[in-house]
Amino acid sequence: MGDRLTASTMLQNEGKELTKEEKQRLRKEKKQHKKNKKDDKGPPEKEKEKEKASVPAPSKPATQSPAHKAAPAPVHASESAAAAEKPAKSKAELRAERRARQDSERTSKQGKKEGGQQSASSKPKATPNELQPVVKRLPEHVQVDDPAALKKLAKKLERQQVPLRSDYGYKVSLFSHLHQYSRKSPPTLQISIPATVIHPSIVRLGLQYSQGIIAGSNARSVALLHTFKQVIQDYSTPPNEELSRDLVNKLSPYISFLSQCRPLSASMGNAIKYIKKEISNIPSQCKEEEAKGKLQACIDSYINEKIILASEAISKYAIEKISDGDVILVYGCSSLVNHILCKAFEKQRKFRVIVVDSRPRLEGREALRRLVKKGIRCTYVLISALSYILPEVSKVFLGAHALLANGYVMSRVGTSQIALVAKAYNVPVLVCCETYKFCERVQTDSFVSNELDDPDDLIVTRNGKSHLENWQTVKSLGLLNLVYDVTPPDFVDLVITDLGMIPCTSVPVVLRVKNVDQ
Amino acid sequence: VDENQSFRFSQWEEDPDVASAVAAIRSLLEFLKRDQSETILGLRENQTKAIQRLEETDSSVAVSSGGELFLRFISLTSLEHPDLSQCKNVMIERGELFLKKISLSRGKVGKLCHTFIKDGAKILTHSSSRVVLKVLENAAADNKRFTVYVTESQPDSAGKLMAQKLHNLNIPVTVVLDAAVGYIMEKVDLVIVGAEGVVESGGVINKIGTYQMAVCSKAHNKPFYVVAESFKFVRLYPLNQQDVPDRFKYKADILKTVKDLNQEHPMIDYTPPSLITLLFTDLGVLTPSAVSDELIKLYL
Repeated sequence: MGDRLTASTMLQNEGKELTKEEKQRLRKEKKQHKKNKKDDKGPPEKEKEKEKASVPAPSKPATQSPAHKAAPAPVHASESAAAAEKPAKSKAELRAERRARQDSERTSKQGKKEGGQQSASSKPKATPNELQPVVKRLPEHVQVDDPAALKKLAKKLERQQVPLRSDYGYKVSLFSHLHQYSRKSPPTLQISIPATVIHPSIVRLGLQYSQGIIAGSNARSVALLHTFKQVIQDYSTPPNEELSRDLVNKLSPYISFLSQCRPLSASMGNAIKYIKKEISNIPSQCKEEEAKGKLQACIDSYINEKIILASEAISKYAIEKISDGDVILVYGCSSLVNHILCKAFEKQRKFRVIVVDSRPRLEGREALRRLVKKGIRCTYVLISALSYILPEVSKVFLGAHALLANGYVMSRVGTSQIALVAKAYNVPVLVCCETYKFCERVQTDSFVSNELDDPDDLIVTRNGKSHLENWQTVKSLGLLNLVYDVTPPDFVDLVITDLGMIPCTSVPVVLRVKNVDQ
Repeated sequence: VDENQSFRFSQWEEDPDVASAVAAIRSLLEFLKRDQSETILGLRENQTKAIQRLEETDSSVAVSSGGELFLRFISLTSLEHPDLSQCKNVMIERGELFLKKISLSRGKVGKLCHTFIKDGAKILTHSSSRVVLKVLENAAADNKRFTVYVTESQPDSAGKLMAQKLHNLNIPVTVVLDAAVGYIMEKVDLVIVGAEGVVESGGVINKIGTYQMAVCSKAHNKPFYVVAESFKFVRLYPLNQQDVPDRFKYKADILKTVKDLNQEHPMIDYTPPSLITLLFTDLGVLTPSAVSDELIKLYL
């Protein structure tokens, strides 16, 4: 230590060019000490002291720090602070002072720790460290305009051997942070058949998602769960691996592939979370066949409880709200709302339905087909005629893609418009949603996180004319095909879930109750 | 036993100080003590039948909600003891506890609410509510000076009764017509009403005329406070006036005798939560959206 001290003082005396090296070393030391500090979670008052000390004598700590590299990190600052003020003393005296100061600081530090008092200045320093693990990073699918995030995604997909799907066409600037894919180029084109890494039924499922063959929140989740059952059936644990850990790792590239085909919905996210939890809870001494059987039974019971039985329970509550002579408005095609209306019709309720539809998906036609097949009297309008028919309507039933933690309802684009106009006409709006679609996310507008569908869908009009065929050549033209929008809770009067009828503001209560149950 | 019990119930109800729900619960407790059934299921069935019988005598929301809450409260522990008589004793004990708790709830509400009445305030209230009376009593005892406007509240002129009671407490009171609510709203500082039932959405069911008072106060930006005990929380979720079940809207004898209910005047109406500022209950001061939270805690 002493040799280094003389060497460094010599170096300092020699000239200014070398202080750069000292500075670099100082920087390295500081990094090291910061790392140690994070590990120790030492009191940050020492940092403050260090900063205070470094202001009056900037050059002195530079010479002292290499000497004190061996000293414990929290004490380093105080030492440099103290030592900086007395440069003239001899080495031995310095060492003795150092030791005394070390001991005093250590005892005072312990006393402060036991007292449990931290000064107000240290608190803001301490809390960001504690808060940092809680801060979540933005999901990748809303960071498409950030090249760093894209690079990370590309690297991850390369590692998992999943093809990267490239964006298509000009994106409207407000939504440039979202992916926009073309239906004509599914990611299945880029992988070889038979695929080595990705299970063939997952490939098939991905193709069905990207082409829109399977659409609708419940349908996608059920298809996903059935495919996972197939995957688990075909899975065999490699030697020296545990099923509970290896299977979860095997599922990750599948999930990446599926989200490349079409971004995952909230219900799918919850289902995947459930499966991963179940897999990791398999005890290690469980035999493979037994474990696989258990997992398949878990998936079956999830589908049964959360989707099928939930829709029965919701129908029971919803039928109480349908009275004879009602005129019910529905939007698009929600499997749950169709189920409710069919059940109500079976229970001999007298009502008629108005189906509202919108381009380019025209999903209302499917709902219309199902209701008319049952024998329910229906009317069909496009969403532009909404304010014309609303005076006739007595209730509005809407489905939901997800219910957010602040009570906002995320559903097919156009839903918030219907809720708004219904509110203006004082017509009660009822949202029907199973609890497995509740998610912890919070969103107040439809821009932050959404999905952009293929813009080419907007080209073809009713007459078959396509004036917009060459939209890509026009530089100032952008086509926007949004999939979802969020409805504020003030427009929704009632949410019917399998737990009962709750106001929209009580969604966090249900989430809390669910978490307690789990 | 049924006849005796409903007779006792109507006796208790006639006591002007006792809330109808409390009278109902007291008679249910008596009925439980005299019950001879052999199984817990039998006990519950008899209780449910008794509640239905009580509803036939008095069809208010409070009786229905009080009865259901009583049943839930006593049957929380019924599955723990193997012996039936022990079970029954536990249930009776819990019933007594419940009764004692709810008899105190009106006092708790009064204590919470009277601080919201400032010196020199002008208060508007609707019809006759014992809880509002208690609140005003507490405020007067706190040496606050305020004046009260009460609506007449036809068809039973209950407002005049309220005015009489307030007069006995030496509080300056004026009776106004039901139609004069819009006229008087600019003069008053706040509106306090009671409730017959608090529904899941956070709205309230109360004497007819409450809804228009709420709409008026919203238009004038005056705070609209509701005071209610927690046993009035009921598992209904009306979407609009039409959605309130008929059995609550009309008096019990009218339901039995009259064929065409469209010719009758409903006795209650529904005030949606968007018009209510705060609810004062013995569980605390709640916003309408917190009512659902409390209901989930009570019922789940």
